[in-house]
Amino acid sequence: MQKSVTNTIGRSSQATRSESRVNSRTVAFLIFAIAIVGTIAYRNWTISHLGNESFATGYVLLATCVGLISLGIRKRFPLTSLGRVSVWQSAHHYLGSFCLVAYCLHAGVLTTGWFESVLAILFWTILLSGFLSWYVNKKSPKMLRTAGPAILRSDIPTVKSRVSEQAYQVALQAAGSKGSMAIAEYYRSDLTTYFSKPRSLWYRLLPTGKKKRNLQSGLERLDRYLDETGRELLTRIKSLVLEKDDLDFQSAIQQRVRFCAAFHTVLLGAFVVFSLMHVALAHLYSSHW
Amino acid sequence: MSDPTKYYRKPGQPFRCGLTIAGRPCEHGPVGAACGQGSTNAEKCYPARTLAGWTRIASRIGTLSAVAFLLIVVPSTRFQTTIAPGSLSTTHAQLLQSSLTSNDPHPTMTINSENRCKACHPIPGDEETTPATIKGQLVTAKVGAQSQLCMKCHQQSMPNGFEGSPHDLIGEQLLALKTSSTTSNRNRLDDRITECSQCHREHRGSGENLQSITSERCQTCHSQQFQSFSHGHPEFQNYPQAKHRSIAFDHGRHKDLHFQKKDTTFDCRTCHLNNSESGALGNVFRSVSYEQACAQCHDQPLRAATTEGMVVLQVPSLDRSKLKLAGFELGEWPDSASQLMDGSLSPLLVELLRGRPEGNDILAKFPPSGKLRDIDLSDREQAKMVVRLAENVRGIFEQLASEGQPYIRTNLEAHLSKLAIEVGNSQKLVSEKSVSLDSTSMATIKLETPRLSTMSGWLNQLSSGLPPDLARTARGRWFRNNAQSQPPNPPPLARSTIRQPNNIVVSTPLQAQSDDLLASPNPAVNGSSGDLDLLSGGDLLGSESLLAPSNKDNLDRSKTKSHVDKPIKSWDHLPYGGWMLDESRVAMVYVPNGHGDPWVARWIEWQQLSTDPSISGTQEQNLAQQCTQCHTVSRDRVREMLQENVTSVNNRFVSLGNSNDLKPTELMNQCWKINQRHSAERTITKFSHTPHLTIPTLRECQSCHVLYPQTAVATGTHGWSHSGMILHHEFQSMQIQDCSKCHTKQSAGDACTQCHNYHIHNYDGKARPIGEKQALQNLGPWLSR
Repeated sequence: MQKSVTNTIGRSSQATRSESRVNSRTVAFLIFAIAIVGTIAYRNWTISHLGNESFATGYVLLATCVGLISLGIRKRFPLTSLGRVSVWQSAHHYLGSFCLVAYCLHAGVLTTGWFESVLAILFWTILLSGFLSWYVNKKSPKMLRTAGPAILRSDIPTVKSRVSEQAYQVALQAAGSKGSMAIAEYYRSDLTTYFSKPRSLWYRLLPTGKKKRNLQSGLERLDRYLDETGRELLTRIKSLVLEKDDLDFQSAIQQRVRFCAAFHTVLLGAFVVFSLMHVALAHLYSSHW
Repeated sequence: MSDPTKYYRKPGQPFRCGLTIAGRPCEHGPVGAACGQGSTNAEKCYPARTLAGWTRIASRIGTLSAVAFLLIVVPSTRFQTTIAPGSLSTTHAQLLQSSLTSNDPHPTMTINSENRCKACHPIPGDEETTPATIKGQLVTAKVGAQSQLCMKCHQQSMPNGFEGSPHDLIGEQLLALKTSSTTSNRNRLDDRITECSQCHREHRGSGENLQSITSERCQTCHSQQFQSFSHGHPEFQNYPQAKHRSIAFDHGRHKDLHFQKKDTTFDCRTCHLNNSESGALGNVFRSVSYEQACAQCHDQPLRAATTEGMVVLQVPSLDRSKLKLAGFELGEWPDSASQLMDGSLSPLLVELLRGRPEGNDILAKFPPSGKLRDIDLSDREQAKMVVRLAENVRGIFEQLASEGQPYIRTNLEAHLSKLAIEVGNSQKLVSEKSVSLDSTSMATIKLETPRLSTMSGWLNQLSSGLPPDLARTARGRWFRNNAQSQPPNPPPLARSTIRQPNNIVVSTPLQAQSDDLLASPNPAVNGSSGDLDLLSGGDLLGSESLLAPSNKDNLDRSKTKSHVDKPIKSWDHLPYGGWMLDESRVAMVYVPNGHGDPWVARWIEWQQLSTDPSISGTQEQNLAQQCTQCHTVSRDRVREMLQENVTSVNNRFVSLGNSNDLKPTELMNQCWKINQRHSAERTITKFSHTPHLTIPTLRECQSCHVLYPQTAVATGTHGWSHSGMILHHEFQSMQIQDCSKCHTKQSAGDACTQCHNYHIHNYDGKARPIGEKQALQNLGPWLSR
């Protein structure tokens, strides 16, 4: 009875959270849409009053960029009074999308001029890497769930080391018995590198189960050379191969997420320098703002 | 024991323990790039840099590279090309790329790679880019410094651009624009200063058309917004607008009357199309040449009308016998001008009389009608005035013979100066009297000598036409003792023979046009004979009748002696125009050389200027009427023409079509030539025939230009003949539907700037209708007939 009540309360709170998430997403999307429409209207109003629409959209873009950078600042100040990082992250995503619209209104898709082109390249790199990072962040949890329980990236080397050690012990046991010698031979020829060396760059970029499947089939083929003890060892080493592959997969996915995030921020400093120079030049050389 | 990995779980650490990879993380962790346990650690540890650490390094390298890039580029010569936000439009790009040297001896700036930005962008504190003077003229510009730099090159096409006013209009025209605006717009116009870059955006690539302005920008002020040209655009009001024409051509009458009589097709292209020439608007002209458009019908009548020539300087006809009766002696005076008081003083004679000490006194005593016949010779005062008139006329001929053209010029100049003062013109006439013609003194001529003014050139041309030798001959024939020292006068023409347009020579009585003379009830003229016959030898001819025995002898003698004594026929002697002494009219006569004779043009202009309302009938009208039948030469227009090179005090900018651009001779012909549309002339509406004439349905001019039906013209509501060329138009106004069929966004385009100019030189909007009085004045003598 008590359990069913708890379940009911749990389901109810889950439903409320989901509903609240939908509501906040709707509000955020509405604000996003209003911001776009408002910016376009502001630009048209500026044009119709013979103003300089480049400055109008430029300042909107500048404000947006400042808003986007503020996420990095928020992360450096872990104060709860500033709100949850997830909320900031979400706002960062919406602002990033809005930034794309503001930039197109400001400079168009293509840019000419050396300085402006460098600035545009920096902008597009940061923006696109941001979108990629966003995508990877969205997809990664689901992918990680397919590779067993999630392990922190910092723990992975330790766990890997343990798995390698276990595999080595199994291979030693196999080498001591005639009915399982084939496992030791296979370990020496194929599994030593697998357990001791890191995976290839290609795997880290696009992790696949091909290697795992090849090794598994190779171990399957040893079955006819093994006795009962050997078959037990074979089952153990097969599970260790799988465990190692899951660890590699988790490491690759987490590394990809971090790499995208790093790539997103690595050019930020240069972008800020060029942006400030751009603002200064625009004010220096333009006749009316 | 605390969790040894706690340290590494904290995000953003630049290093991790080297033993982590081996699965044995150290609880101390690395300190910077060194092992946290230091030398006490039994196992050697090499801390590894994390992704966050590498990212931080890369970010710093990127930022420093950006700063370094700017530090290298900013002071370099490539800075200006590097920071340019895009390519310039073609016209501006070639200006900066060219290595041409300026012809200006004192250029304000030489464009090179180091100051190419400064050519268009003002730099604060840089005097070179904040022009206080343009071409040495102090300008208190209202626009910003950058627009002033634009105007350094574009001043000529936009003389008022420094004002930044709406449509470049200033003064009365701006007022007219404001008056024609709605109240809300009028308030906006008050303080509106428009910068060039508000509409023209540079650095958008070589293909960018700087003149393509979006319609939204126009609608900033033109707040009566509408969807498109075909939906909501205000209806045309009297478009194409009636312009002031220099040629009085009545399209309706020519089409319906003259061409129908001649059974000829009225084809617009005959007069408006010239395929061998290209003007500002292609091969369509306001009118082609006289030879192509008019000569076919008008040349013969014009030549016939000018055959007799025009009297330039005439000896007035005085009555010697009546003067004698009054006790006065006329003195040396040509016999043919001694029979009766007749005619009036020729305009040039009046001007020359004014230049003499007694001249104004004599003219003041002249009858208001200006007719000699109205002088009462029985009145001793008036008879005395006539004798003084005769003495002064002799003096004029004497001075003309001895001093030549300068005598004429000085008198004309003095009179025109008075006229100029009357109209408030402060222009100082330049006299060339003191200019030495010694060619050896070329080196001494100062380049600062003012250029020949239009007025001066005009006077020179007018004076150069009068031959002093002819005056000397006239003096010899008419004012010397003919019987003793001079050869006898050639016999005057008893009858004038006028060549008709069809070259048939017919005889008409001399002075048949002098109706007043024949109708005059004045007994002095009619005498007692009742029936007046010029050839009857009655009182009219007096004792010294042209056909009196003594003169008859002369006539006979002339027939036998030499061909010089034969009656002179202008069309025989001067078929190509020129000067002659007309013994019958006792005048120096000029026979024009057909259409377009420049001296006749100057003469008629002078006549228009010198028409003295106080002395009526002094103007020689015949030939002027022939010319002004088509050419609308009025006193005001001539005055405007001569003053065109005067820079108005109120307008510091040089107006378009100024004498800076036109030669004096070209300026002089402004009254006569067709005012072809100039490529630089910018009005608020623009139209080019050329692209329209490629469309088959529009090749017929009447498809757009429809004349009002004759009934409307007859009622005087529309048309040329009844209401003048400016108030009413002989063509029906076009409708917006005529254009909107093609001018849509999808086909021929419907942007505002396709048909409208922003930068205009004249605003002739609906707020400035020209009054009927002004229109009639402009029409001049054409309407008075």
